[in-house]
Amino acid sequence: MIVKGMNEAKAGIISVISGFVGGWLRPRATDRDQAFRERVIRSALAILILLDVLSLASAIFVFHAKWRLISFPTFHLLMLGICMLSGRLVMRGHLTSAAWVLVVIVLAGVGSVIVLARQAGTATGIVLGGAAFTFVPLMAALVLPRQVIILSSLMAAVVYLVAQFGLDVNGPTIPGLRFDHLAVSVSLLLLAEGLLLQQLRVEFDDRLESMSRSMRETELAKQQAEVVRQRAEQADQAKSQFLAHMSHELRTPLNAIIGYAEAMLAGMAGSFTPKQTELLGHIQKNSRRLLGLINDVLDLAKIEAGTFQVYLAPMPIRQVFRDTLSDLRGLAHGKDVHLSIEFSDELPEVIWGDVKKLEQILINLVGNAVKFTESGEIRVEVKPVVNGFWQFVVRDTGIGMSAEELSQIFEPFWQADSSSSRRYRGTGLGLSITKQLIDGLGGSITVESQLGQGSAFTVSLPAHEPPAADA
Amino acid sequence: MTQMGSVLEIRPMAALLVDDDPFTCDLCRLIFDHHELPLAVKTNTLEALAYLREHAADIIILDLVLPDIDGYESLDAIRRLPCGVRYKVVATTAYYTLDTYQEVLQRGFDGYLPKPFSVNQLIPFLTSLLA
Repeated sequence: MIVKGMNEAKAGIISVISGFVGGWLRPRATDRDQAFRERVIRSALAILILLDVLSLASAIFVFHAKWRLISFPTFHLLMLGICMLSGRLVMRGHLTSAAWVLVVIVLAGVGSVIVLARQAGTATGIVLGGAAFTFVPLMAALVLPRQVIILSSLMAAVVYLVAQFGLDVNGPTIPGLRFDHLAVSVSLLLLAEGLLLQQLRVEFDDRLESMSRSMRETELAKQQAEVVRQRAEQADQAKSQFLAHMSHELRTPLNAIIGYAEAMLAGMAGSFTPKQTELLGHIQKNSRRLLGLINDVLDLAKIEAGTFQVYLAPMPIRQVFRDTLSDLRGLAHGKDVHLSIEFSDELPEVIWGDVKKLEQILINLVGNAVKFTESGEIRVEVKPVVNGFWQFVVRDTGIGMSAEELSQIFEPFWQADSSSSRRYRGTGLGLSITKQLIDGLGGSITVESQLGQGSAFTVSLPAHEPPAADA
Repeated sequence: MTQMGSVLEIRPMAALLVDDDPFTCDLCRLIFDHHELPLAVKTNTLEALAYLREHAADIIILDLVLPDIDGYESLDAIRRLPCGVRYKVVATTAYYTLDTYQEVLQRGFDGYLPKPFSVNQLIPFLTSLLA
């Protein structure tokens, strides 16, 4: 029990001490560079204080040094005081001053230790003192401006030489060791250390600078890209809105024209001569065509604006095909074209999908087939579901396409530069829209065709799983 | 769908059109007159709501873009009227998107009539909604 208690007390003391030391070492500066310097200074200070306290203790208790004005204990106390001053400066954030104070502590403190050691006739202080001076250039390289690294190593060398030779005290002798040789080699070592550390520091600063410059540039580029993206988004929104309003403004009068023409054709304004009825029919047909063109352009703009949404619902697939094709029969009016549908026996009654987009795709493909077929057959084959996809093929016996045409029919406006645009009226957007609709639905479209041999468009669309019923 | 009109017998209905385009209103009147059906016409939502507090309606054709109140809010206002849930409300608009049909049905309309509505199919379509 007692042992355990003691262990606990030990653990407690250790945790208090480590907490205190850790707390002292933790830098307060938020800037990374500053925090690094602060940590170095705090660590160096901690080491110096520790060494100082140890030397003070050994001077008093081991060497039984006498308390005099100029003696080991008083010097150690003085150094402790200066350490406290440096600590105070660190806490106030004056890092460079604190670092200078540290350098001074080492120079003055170690210098006087050497002098005192010579007076006392002990060789250890002189030898160790030389080694302690290497601390000065290192400190300067870590925390002082890089112009003063060599200066500080020079200072260390001068102080060391002065302490060794400048003061007229009789030093001890060690057989085989000449202190003047030691002093010169240590001074040279200090200078070399300063030079090397300065090289290191210059290289380090350059790398840091180029790194932070490239980071700043990346950041700037990111911000610029964001601005560009936002502008593009705003422009897109403005475009969408403009198109929506334009669409409304274009369609409103057109709707009135179509409506009145149809009302007159339906006999709502009395009867007309056959010629008048024929001309009214032209008005009606052409205004419908204009409407189709406007819709095409708006469809493409809509899809390109990225406002594409898929609405899933159960589609009675046979009925959708029959109704849409029966609406399209009017297009083939006046041509010797036979329109037919064939459903696979394995086709389910209902497939989940976006019925309005399917109708649009069908209208575009069959409409196209009618447009390019003067006589013959247009056949729609609906195939069963395989691997989650179902297919339909729109086959015609029309003019067909060359290999070159095939490669670009899904590009918007392709028809605009081909000679066919004048013969076969249209925006040339229909197939491009169809492809984008199919892509948006997660399907695919392929085409086979030969010039003069007709064309076959195969559309593959996902057969969606019905959403799970709510429990 | 196109054949529906011939199958369904046209029945008397009290219809209300809410639309700010004078030609749409005029054309609708022409069609309804042709079938000898009554049609009330209002050009904004507030007038329509005031009308509906005094009169009954079987079917309401509501333009989605009206000068005073947005079509979806107008629908909500109509639904809050006494008997409001019983009205068949059909959305109509000349704003064109492929998705309007689904959006309109999702928002609680009973049907969607994109403009231009087919002169021959308007009445059969409305009749089929009331069947």
